[in-house]
Amino acid sequence: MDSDAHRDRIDAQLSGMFGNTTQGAVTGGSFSYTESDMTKIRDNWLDLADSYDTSLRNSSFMVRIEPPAEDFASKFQTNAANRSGESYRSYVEHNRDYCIQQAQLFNDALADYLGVEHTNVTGINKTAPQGPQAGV
Amino acid sequence: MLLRRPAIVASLLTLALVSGCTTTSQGEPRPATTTDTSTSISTPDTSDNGEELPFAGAPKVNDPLDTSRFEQDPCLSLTADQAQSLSLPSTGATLENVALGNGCGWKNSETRGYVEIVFLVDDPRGLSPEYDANSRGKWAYFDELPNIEGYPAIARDGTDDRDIGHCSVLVGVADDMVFVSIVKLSQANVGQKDPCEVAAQVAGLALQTMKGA
Repeated sequence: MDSDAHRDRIDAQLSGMFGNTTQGAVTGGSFSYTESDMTKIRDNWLDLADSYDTSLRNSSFMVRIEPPAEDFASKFQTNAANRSGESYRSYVEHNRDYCIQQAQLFNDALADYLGVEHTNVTGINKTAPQGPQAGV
Repeated sequence: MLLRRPAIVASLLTLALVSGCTTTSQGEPRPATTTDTSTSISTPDTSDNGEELPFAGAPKVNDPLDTSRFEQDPCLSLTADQAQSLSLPSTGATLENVALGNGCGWKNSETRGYVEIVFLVDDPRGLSPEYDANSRGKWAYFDELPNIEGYPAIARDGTDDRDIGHCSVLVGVADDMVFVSIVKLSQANVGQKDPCEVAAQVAGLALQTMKGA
């Protein structure tokens, strides 16, 4: 199937998704995606997920923070900072997972349009005919 | 005028006494005693706030490694050949705003494989706080690893993402210095390789570079 045919199929699917109201009236407007657009958007979501993931790894160092002194104010301040750190960590992890989910949606849509098997964007549950690859 | 006389007399007496006590004698100049510190690294036994290092059950580093050059520029930790052997770009990118440290990242945009090396220069307590955090239940996983190039190492993280190919390995290069090897496996290697083994391998390569410097 050539690129134009893919584009037509994507147009048909996505204009149906975004072009109808609950009343059934067509309001117009649609999105046009090529195969490369879909791939690019999926990769952008994955890049964003990677960026959140880097923040998540680096936030683990915050547990090393200790109060500067043994007085109540120092300990209280550190406890508050650590709670804030935990909240930040949860927020970053949530956003990382959200970005992966969005990437997965685009990946699945792309697979449907191409008529190929769904694959997991994080690499798990995949078929690996070649086995481990060199390097990282 | 009369009031000043005792003061003048006292000053003269003091001057006479000091002059009488000042004698000179011949001496031989000697070089100052020096200690050669060029080949040894002084490792403090205590942290900045007075804690004995190591603590919380962390292992002592018997042969501390001078990593000062790499602490300032972590991108030097992997040579171009080493990075390429890991299917990474030959040069890394300095990371901004890393908590408590300086870091460098190598990312293969095609495979999505990623390696990061961070020196925790702003918390000079080595592995000890990691063991302490473990005793407080802060880690989703915490594994003591066999020594890497002779240095104690652990794998740990607050979120267990090993199933999607992520792992952090920390190596104590001195009682007061640790570096972190963070690995995200390429999509092709998730489920095929143990990310912690790869992170330990990366740490080993970095240590070889540091030892050779």
